[in-house]
Amino acid sequence: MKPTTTSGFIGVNMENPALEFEDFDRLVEQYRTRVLRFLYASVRDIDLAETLTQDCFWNAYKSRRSFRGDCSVNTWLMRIAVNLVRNKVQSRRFQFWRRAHRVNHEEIHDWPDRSISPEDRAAINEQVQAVWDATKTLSDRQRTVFLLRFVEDLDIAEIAQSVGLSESAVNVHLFRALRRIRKSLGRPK
Amino acid sequence: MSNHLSPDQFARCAAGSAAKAELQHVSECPECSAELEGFGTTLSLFRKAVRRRIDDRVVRHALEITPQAYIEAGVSKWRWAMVATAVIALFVPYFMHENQPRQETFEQGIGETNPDAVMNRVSRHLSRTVPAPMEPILSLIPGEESAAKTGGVQ
Repeated sequence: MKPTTTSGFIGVNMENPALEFEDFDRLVEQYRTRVLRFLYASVRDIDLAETLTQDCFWNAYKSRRSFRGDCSVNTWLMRIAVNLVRNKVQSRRFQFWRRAHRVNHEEIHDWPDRSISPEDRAAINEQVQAVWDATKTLSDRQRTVFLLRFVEDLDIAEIAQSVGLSESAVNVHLFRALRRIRKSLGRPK
Repeated sequence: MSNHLSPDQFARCAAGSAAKAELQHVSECPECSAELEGFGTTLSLFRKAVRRRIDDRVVRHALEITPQAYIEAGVSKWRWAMVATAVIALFVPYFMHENQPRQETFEQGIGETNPDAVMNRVSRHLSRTVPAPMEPILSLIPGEESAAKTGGVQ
């Protein structure tokens, strides 16, 4: 059966590895930002996110023949990224959170838009920081689902495929994440 | 009992999975509507902040690997190569000059295998009144004749 893909790099040109590699370069170019963004939001450390992004594409390249085209390449890459976060970050949780606490203030702030008044900018920074802090209180799964939905704009079906859960389970995690974030923002009802 | 959305209903609305009744309530309740809108704005700002941060990073990274960067890296390498060549050009003659006399002396020593030549060298050495390294200094010290002419040490 011929695999169907959105990128055109999977399962094609088996006789010509050079062309396949060329396609892989294009794939990296196309998805690198998304993968890096998700990983950065997950691990809150830009250097670690860069490393994991490289690992993600390396793993994708190694396992490219196992991709059957039953989901989009974006979902497939996100699944690899989710597994990387789960495997690597959990194993070094202590260092990771300690470092995350140190860097997050300087990283997420400083809006470059000069049209915003200093007061508004301060208010925006406060809100962003509050969500950033709130995501820390989420479980790993809740955080992953929340980030995939609200930062990466994946729909519930894509998130389910990425994290290997049913759609209803994804919904449950998402609702819980939103409840906790809302509570952390100081608007419980 | 509150007439507003429960936390679960609110979360469903925020996630975009609201039921008809919940949507109906949001459209009729200004308080819930405002809160939902505010929450959505906050999440949107968070999303924007994360995206901006990464997009900046990616753009910076892309700029770092432009052909210009490669050219500059190449120029930098050439610059270092030139400095290294200049250093070598300065030091090699110096070391060659330093090694040359020793080499000559060594070769001389090896070359003098003739017994007469060796005896001459030994005699010359024994006839010295001062050690050989001091001989150049002795030429600077005035002799008895020159001392008499100038009246000796005053």
